[in-house]
Amino acid sequence: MGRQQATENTAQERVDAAVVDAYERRIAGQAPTAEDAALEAEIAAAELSAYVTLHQRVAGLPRQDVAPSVRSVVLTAAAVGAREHAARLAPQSPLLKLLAWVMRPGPLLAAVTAAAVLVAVSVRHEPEATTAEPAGSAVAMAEAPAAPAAMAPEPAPVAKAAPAPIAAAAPAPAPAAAVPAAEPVAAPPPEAAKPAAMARPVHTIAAQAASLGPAGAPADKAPEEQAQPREAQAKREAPPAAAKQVAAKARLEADDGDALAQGYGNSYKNAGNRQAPLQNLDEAKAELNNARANVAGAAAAPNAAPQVLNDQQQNAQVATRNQVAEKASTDAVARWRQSVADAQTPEDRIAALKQLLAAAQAAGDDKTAKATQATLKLAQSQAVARKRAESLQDTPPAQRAKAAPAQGSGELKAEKAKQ
Amino acid sequence: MLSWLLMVIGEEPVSDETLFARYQNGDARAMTTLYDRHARALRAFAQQRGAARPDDVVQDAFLRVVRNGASFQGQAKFRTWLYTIARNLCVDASRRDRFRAGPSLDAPTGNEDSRTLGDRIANDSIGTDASRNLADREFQAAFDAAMAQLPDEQREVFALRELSGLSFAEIAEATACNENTVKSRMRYALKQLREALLDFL
Repeated sequence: MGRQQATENTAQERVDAAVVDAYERRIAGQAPTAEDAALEAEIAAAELSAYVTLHQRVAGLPRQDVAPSVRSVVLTAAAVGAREHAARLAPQSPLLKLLAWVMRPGPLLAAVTAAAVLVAVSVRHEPEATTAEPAGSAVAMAEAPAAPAAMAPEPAPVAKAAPAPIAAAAPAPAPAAAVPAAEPVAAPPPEAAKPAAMARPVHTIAAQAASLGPAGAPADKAPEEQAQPREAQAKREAPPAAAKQVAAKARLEADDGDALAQGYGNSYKNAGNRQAPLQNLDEAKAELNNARANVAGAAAAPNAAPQVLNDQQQNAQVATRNQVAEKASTDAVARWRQSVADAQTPEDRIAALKQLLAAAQAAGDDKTAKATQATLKLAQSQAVARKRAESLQDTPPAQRAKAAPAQGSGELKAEKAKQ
Repeated sequence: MLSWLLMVIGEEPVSDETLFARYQNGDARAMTTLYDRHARALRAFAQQRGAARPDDVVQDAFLRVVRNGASFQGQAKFRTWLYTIARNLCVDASRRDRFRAGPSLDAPTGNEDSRTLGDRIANDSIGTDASRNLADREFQAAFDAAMAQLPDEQREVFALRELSGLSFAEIAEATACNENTVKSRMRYALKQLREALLDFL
């Protein structure tokens, strides 16, 4: 029953839809179709005409306008909304986008963490870089400055301008194989005014000074008299170190550098450190001046502090003795270096090296001692090799071939061919 | 800019959807055009739909369009969307007006003419009724009375079709009905109005 009713309703709706379509076509001024003719046959044709008339009357009715206040309210809200829409859709500049992306918590935290890690790594590497020893041979070790306080690079105009009496003897005649090893021996050590010597016991320094012979200055001289020659001596010794390094580096660069070149290069980089003697000399001079002032003050008021005056005098004397002993040992080392450089034969050179080794050990110059020891070993091995070569030359070729059957040198083959 | 000028001088008909897309892109003038195009018909619909204050319905409908503009994705026609909003507003207004104690000044006064109570209070003192055509006034009153006698569904369909100009498909979408059902309602509305206004036809 319900289904039949629904079917009838659907059919009625179709009829109604057809009537309305015919009405629409009429009010639109379109020509009636065959379907419209059939419909008009079913329903009164006057009904459709009445519908059209009703439409025309309704369309002719006046329509009231909306209040102007409504228009202003709506358009104001529309203007605000349009601005919001435009702001929402406005393309941001890439910089603003990047800034907005970076300023998020995640990237910000990552950047801060990365910066902290970089700072920590750089801080950790910095002291390592400053304290790293240059990679080099015993030559570089021998010429490296002993005082860490003298690491500050300082241009050495005095070193370049001053004459180099000891370095002038550097290109001494020597076997070709021993030239690189002989360089450090000929080079003057920069430890001449090493501050560590100031702290050495007085009796040790005095004993060393006594064993070094007449090279040292008299210990009983007044401090005022000893200060001037000591300063001049230090100035003479310090500049040749830098000048020597420049000459050595240039020569090694010309030879396209071997393993020693790097050591010399590194030593050359630290040429400024060889101003350490000058600095130490300045310190000693300042100390002497203080002692002098103290002595003068004590003399002006002898009853004020005699004990203090005695202590200061003793300190000044000890410092003077230490410096004199240091100078004497340095002179001894320099003298033996000159002997090594002047040696004409390998035997004389080995003997001079031995004396230089003893002097360096007596002066407490460990680096020079090590370098000298290495050079001495090299010279001794060269001497042994030379003796062997001479003995081989004296030996007949047959015995030589028997002694070295594995050696297939060209010379041996040539002699065999001759036989 | 050129397309806007062409649209303003009327050489290029711009659809409602295009205008609303321009508004969504920040062009407030597009909303002005839409308002001018639909405000009057929307008011007539709201009035025939029984709203006590049709201007309020128009204002609220357009304000909702402005505020909810981002939610319109263009899947339906703009006019359908606008009249759906107005229809819902009319339904809400009619529910509220049931509990209103006194008559509204915006409400139609009933049988004598189509003017509201406010219009009558204002115009009676000025006496501008003389300028009106007597036949039109009588037909307007009879028409309003006949519309008031129609069921809500039929009156709604007739108002949307004859006063607002929506197609039957749009009416079907706005009222969530079958198109044939809408046409059937239209035929019954026409039938009853013809019978009520037979003297004027």
